[in-house]
Amino acid sequence: MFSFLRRTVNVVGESSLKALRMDGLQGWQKELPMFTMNTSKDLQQWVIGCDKDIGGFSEAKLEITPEGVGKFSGNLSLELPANTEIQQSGYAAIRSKVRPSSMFGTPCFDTTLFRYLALRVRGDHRKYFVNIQTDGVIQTDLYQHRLFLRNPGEWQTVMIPFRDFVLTNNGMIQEDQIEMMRERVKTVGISITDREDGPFEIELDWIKAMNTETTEGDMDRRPRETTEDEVDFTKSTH
Amino acid sequence: MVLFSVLTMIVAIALFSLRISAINFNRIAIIVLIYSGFLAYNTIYTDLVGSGIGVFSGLFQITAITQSIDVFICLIGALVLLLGENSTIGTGTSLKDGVTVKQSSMIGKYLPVLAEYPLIVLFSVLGMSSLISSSDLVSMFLSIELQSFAVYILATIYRDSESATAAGLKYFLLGSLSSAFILLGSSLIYGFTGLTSFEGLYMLCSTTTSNHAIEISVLLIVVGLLFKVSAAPFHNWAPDVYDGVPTMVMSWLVTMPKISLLVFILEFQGFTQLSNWSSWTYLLLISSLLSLMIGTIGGLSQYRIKRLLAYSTISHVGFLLLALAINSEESIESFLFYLIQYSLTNVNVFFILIAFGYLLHSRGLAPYSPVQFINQLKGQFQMNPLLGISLAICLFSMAGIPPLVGFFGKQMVLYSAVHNGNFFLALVAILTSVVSAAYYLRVIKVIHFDPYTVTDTNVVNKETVTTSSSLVIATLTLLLIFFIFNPTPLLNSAHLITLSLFYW
Repeated sequence: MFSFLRRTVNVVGESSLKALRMDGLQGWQKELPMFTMNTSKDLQQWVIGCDKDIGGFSEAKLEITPEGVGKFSGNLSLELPANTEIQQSGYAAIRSKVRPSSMFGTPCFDTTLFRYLALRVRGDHRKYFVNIQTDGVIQTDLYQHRLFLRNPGEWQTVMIPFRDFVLTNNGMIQEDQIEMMRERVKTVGISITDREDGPFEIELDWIKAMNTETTEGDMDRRPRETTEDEVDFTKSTH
Repeated sequence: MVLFSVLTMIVAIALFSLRISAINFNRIAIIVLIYSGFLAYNTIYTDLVGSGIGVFSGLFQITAITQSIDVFICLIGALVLLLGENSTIGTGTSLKDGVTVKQSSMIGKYLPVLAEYPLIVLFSVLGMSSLISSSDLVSMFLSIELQSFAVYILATIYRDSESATAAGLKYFLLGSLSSAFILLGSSLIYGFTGLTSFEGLYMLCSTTTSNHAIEISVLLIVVGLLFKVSAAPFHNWAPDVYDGVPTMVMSWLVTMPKISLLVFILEFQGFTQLSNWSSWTYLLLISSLLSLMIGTIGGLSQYRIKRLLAYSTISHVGFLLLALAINSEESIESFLFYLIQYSLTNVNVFFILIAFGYLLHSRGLAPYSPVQFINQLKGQFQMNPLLGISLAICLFSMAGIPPLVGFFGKQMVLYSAVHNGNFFLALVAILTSVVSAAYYLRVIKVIHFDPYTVTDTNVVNKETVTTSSSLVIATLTLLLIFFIFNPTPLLNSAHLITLSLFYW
């Protein structure tokens, strides 16, 4: 009860500070840090699940390695559980936790001004998905995208445009693809469902929402390095 | 007239929507609304109507104010429906990646107006005119529901993005909650007094010095009405909802329900004021103070233009509630004047925003709300200087800068506030006007002074805005500028309507 009120007061304080600083004038931002996986305290922000919950035989665990990055690893098994109704098995996923709500709703990330979701990962040859859940009307709606790893086994920053995420619900791709509500991104997660038996391992350092020098959300911009006596494309009206 | 046209259009859309394109239904609705406004104007017989006529055995009343505001609602409704005329008739071709593209291939981008949109708008107008003429708790609730249901459907009709559906659902849920408050309050009034008609309530209240039962029920009704008008502290839904729905729908949501609900609050306040002291004053003053402050402070941190306009609406509602709270003759006159000029200015801003949206040929824009960010308007002054100047004039008027009409609205409200002794609120109102000018000026700065950059997704556009849009924008902007040269029509009308309220 009191932590609810405390969170509400925090939200009021933060938004008043934002208003007084006139954050709308800030202009272009390069990145918005969303999640890091460096300490065990960060680990508590994440939940992990695999098909053990329905009686399957996969294993998955999420831990912090001695280098200070998170590792999501385990063993996927396609063996069907004892329940005869289940026809496919073999999945594992991690997802960030929904943060506790205040009177103003659940705290979400406002990623409108950023074009890409960037993850710093080191994975293997397996096929992973990135999942985004928003604070929309249907809570089971999940926006998914493949986490393409160009160099398995090496650290890389994967940037996925928010526009390219595909709307799914309970694993089924929806016919009416509606746009994601980027101002209320509630949770981000990584999952693996590639129907291959065997071990998997992916290390995750941070997740951010990012822009490149020429993008600001879905809009484009010219980088600030250009000098004033550059050619201006407007007509000679001034 | 509106009812008749609603019935006709239901049949017409159902049977003929393949043969008659949707834009024609829009035009029919505009003509219907203009004609209804003309019919309402015809019945403003100040001598015959007198202090009011009750129709339908006291369920509705016809007074000077109901007829005049009816005219205004119909005209503004026709104006907002004109926003649907949004296919630009650019005569040139556009350059895109070095290849000239003919105009016809751009047509798919412009959103088709749904045939049901003008029909729902007519339902809403029907609800609004009934609301301002309602004289009974039952008819009040029915009109509020009729108006609100239509507006809920409008908010959820374009379901292309998650934020649109979330916004529509939020609007529906909170609107229903506020209707439930109104219903509870009215049932309590009936339970305590056995009266549903406002005339009976007036007789009861004017002979009572203190009646807690009536005060509690009136408080509930006021809370419900303030919810719908998006006054603080019940404003939370407004920025999210206005941001999510398409710009065309937002222009309807922002301007129209406020007119009818605020005028209804004016009438209802007159009917239920107790004889020596009324809690109405305090309720409206508190809400006005909060709206003014929240509207200004909230708007400062916005980078999305529709949320900014939502917060500016909240602060203007604060001014209007201040004028209502004072409830003297000059304050009601200032209320009516402010309402009229603010609605016209607001409609103008939306016309200009939608015009900008069609001139911005960038990839990846949402088709229904093309202009979402303030930064999208960077440097548009160089592309289309007149539109930029018109937006600047409208925003200056909303900030209250003389000699535009917005200044006179604020001046009248503040004059009556000071005259009545509300010094603190008048001070807060002035300070918040100044602070809100900051975020208006930011938009103007972005349009006029930020460098206009053509990146590879912008095309050099030689489009022009539709004749109807440019005509409306030009007329309204000139009205704003030239009000000071001929203020008499507007000022005198507001004065006469107020006199009819107070001296009959």
